[in-house]
Amino acid sequence: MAGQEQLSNGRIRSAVDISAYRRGFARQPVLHLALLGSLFVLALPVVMTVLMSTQPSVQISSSTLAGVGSEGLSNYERVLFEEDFATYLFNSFVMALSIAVGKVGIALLAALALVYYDLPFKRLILLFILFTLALPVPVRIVPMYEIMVSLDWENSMIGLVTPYFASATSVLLLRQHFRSISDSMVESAKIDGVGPLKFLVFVLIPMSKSMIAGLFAIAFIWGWNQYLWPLIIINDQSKQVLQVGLAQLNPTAGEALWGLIMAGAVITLLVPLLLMIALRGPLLDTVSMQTK
Amino acid sequence: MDVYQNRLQGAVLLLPTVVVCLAFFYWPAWETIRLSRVRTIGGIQKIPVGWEHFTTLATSGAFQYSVAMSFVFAFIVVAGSMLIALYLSYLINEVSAGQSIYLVAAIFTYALSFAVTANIMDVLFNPTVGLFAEVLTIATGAVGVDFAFDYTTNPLWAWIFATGSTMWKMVGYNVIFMVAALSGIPESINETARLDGVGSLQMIVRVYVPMISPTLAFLAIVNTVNAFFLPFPVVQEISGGPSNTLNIMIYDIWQSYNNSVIGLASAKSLVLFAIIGLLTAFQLLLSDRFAHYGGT
Repeated sequence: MAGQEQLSNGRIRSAVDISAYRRGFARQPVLHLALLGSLFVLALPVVMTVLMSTQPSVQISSSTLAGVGSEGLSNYERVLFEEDFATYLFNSFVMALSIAVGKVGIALLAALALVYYDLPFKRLILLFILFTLALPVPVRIVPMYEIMVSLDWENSMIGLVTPYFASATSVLLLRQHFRSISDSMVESAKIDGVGPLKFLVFVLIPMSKSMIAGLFAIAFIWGWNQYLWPLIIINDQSKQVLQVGLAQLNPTAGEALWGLIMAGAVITLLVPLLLMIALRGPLLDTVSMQTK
Repeated sequence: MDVYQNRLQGAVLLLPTVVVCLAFFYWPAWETIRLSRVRTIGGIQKIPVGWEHFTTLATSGAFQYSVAMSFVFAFIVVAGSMLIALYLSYLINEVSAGQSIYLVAAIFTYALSFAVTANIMDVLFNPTVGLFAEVLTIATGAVGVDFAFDYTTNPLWAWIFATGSTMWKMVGYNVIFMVAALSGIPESINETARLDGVGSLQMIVRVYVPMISPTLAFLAIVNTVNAFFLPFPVVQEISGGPSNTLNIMIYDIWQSYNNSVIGLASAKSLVLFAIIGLLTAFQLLLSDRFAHYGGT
């Protein structure tokens, strides 16, 4: 397997080389055809979504063979401005960004304390944080809503994002990573009398760039894709996010505006998809590190 | 190594995480336990009823069906998505050119939400206007098979629709882990097996699966936990299937909350919590055990 070294930890840095690909294809034609075939089937629903988002709804319902339709960008224009997806897009972006920054930021502080401070009951504190993994939203939903009402945080961005700030996974991975940083590095910082925040900003963060990028991407995609909590906490359309807006676009009666819905779906899936592609190296490394 | 001795400072750094955990995880979970032992009247008045909700659930045929179907649903989607992911990961690991593009194309569903998945799949398989539903109907009709590709009337098709959509969405996540694990297998093992003339399927079953079994065990549990609550939008999209045949626990709990049967809904979510908690504990134990194997 000649490509093995390229794929260390699922990360590929080399640029795409067409002629190398041609040679590779000729060497393993069956393998390439099997991959192209299965990945085409996997991608088909999304390919169809993109095609259908350009078609007038009537054409889709009469199931004409899919192609690029006559509606082109007008479905997108309508869904963005008539159906308020521009607002939802902005709200989703603010929500996902806040969740990602909040999660990783708070986890950095916690990991700093757990690794470099002389604290009692460290293992117990770690378990206390880890156990939140077993408490998904559905188990907490009604009391959480009641907390938001009593704090007057319903229908607000702060109510939407704060419950996501605790991240057992981020704390665990950063703690592991900090522990792997060489003692001599830490020792010299200690001798120089560097304060904890300076140590975090100038030593730990630069040494954890890849992991922080990976955790950020995971948290952003996770935040962007949340559905149940926004559905419950937000009932003001001007504060709504894409995932819920998209579900509301689906009319239960009357003529279904499929072209419009598909344009909405493309808008909803585009941002996390692009982020995943852009940060795929650190993302893949960090995700697969969870088994360790 | 303990560089800083100031315990107060350390506590302050931990404070945000601890506060969020307490306010939005532990306290609500505790409240759910409290709510499971009351009956609400008119949304305000709460009457203590002890274990009544739990005894009701223990004898309720509908709830037992819901619990059983949650396990069946989880089993189907976990087994299905892991098999597809294993096949794709094997191909990606074998191929020598274009690996990065194939990998991104295989994991793109990781970036999609279940809400988007539900919407896309509904438009494609919708019984009245769905393109794929129509193609399937015409294709099966041509060979003389009479099968209703309608999730509003055909429970079997509703199940295939919901589990299939969920499987599709879950493939990406699994490929990420499997490709990473496969790339960690020493080259010498592959070559030895090849020289012995081991075929592809044999390679997967006899060599790769045992080598990456810690990763597979981890994925099996994490996927199962996810399958218990993440596919909610997919099930909601088809309203629980014809006569609620797809009434898995998370959808059942949602319906109870929607009908403002808060006490009973809380009791149901505690049963779900017990299942997820057991699986999570099992996973932590397992990863502890496998850690000695070099922790793939």
